[in-house]
Amino acid sequence: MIPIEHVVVFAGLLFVIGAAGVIIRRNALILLMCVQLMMAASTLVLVAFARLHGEPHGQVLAVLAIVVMAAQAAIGLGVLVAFFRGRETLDVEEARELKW
Amino acid sequence: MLAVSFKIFVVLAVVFSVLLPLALLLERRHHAVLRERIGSSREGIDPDVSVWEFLRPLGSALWLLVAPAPGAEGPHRLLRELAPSLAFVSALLGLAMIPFGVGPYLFGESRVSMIVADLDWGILGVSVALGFSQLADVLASWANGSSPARLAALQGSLRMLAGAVALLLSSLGLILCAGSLGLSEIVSGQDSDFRVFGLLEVVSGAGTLSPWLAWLRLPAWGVFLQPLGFVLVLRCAWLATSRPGPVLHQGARPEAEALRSGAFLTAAYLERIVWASAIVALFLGGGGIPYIDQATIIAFVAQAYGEGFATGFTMLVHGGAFFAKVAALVAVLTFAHGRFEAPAYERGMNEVGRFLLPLALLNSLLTALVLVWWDGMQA
Amino acid sequence: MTEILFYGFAALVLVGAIGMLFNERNVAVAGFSFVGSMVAIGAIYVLLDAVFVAALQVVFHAGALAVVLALAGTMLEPRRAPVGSAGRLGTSVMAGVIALLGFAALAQLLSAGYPEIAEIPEGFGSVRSLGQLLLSDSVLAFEFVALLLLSVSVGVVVLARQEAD
Repeated sequence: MIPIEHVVVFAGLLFVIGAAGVIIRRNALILLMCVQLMMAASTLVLVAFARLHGEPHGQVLAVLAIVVMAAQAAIGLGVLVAFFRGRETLDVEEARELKW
Repeated sequence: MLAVSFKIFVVLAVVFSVLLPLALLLERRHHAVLRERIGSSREGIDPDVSVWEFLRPLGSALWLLVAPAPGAEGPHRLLRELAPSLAFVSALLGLAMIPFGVGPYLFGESRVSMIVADLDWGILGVSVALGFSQLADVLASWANGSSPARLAALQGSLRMLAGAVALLLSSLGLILCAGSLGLSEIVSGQDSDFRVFGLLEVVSGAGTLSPWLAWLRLPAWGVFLQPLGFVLVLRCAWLATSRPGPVLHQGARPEAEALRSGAFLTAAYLERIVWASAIVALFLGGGGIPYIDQATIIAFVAQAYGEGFATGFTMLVHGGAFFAKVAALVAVLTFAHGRFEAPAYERGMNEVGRFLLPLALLNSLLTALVLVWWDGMQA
Repeated sequence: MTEILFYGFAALVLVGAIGMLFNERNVAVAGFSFVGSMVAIGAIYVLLDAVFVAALQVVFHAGALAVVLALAGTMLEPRRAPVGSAGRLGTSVMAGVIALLGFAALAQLLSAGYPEIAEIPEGFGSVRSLGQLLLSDSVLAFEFVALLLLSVSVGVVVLARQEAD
């Protein structure tokens, strides 16, 4: 069986990669994927602990988290398309005004 | 491992040497007659099928494997090279989750089922594999940088996605009836029959109706339990599988690479086969024979030839029945595409969104109400 | 065997994630490496006996998100691709420090050790068991997610609608 410690450390690494992406990147699409990566890392921890304790509750939470991820991706892409339509760029640095 | 490899081999052999050639043949020969678009070779148009005709797609696929790719250029070479196999892989993944027989077959201690991957969320997987299958066209056309093909591919992909979602929602009522998302459970639940007036008896509380009505029985197939769902799914299948024509050389430049273009067309026919298999497994009883369930066949044959032979024989019969049903449904889909013009993209999507999805939701709601009420009656 | 598979898939996930991070010029390639890493995470779920969660993961990320990303990546071709992270050195250093602190805290937690990995019952992680829990113990969360999905579907329609002017 996989040592759960390794899964947790791996998930932490994944989370850090996602967070780093959110901080250093300016492309909105990449940003969205980085946020998804962070959420996937936390879901992985939920599943790992569900396996550790032999309790399916963690998996139920993971299912809900995945659904929330899908919702977030849908809204994020909707915002992105609206943003792109206004100014033909995906650079989040350009999003400085509330209205254009 | 050996059993799974054997199953994969059998499925691939049947699909690539019987079903796929059949679909291509129907399309090539009979469409021309059907749409009165007979070409210059009027003489050979009669459907005189030689055996070698059936091996042609196999040969084409082999040639595609070994043929040297013409010099690919552009930044997205890898995606371009991978795209045809992506189309095949996602369609075949859908096929892997569909049972080709009925229930588990018992050989002494060992249980054999005629399904490559027996998952308890099979219908979800089939729907996803179907929705995913047109993405390869988008990839290929994007990698080639051809805008018209990309637009066509995007529309095809969205249409297939809408169709897959509608498939899932339309069969929701059936899932409620079967109480499972697993296709093997759904299929083995359909291997029986029911008295048509049984419901009336429970409702009226009058006990058994006149006994001369008792012979009126129907197979417990999805099509009889969920007629509306069946009609909706059939319509979805027709809307989702467009007729791949020469206009949509999806991402491949046909003059330079006819074989790559052919791979996309072949994958489109494979998608049609997956749709037909899913509908057969969901609504037409899978490999089941109407009125004669698995135990009856086994018991009957076992009288003369013994248990093991009887089980194997039943597997063969069920597999044959499944493929016959799939072939019939593929023919129906192909002829429907030939006979009726598919609606344009916007109209098709409008129909799915404003007509099919609400009806599917209504169907599942009604089914749920009836089931709850039925449970109340039984208790 | 499971361990080796886990390390292999973990390496795949990391490769995909880093490929996503460093393909900024080419959004579609970034999207596909992201989808690849998500599918590999699904494989890790299978190794952790969460088959249905893995299925959902692959459905949402390889299915829905891949389609959406492919559409977005091939449709939205910006005139100038936003690249690089100019003048963000301080932020990056700060983020690195915070990440290091986080890992230190994680190491502290891990040093306490976990209990033995429990034996799992038959049908652990199957659709049936998860569905029963979802509609009994977690029914409140389930309802909230349903509400969320409703508002999301309305919101996306509002966002994506063309302004009629």
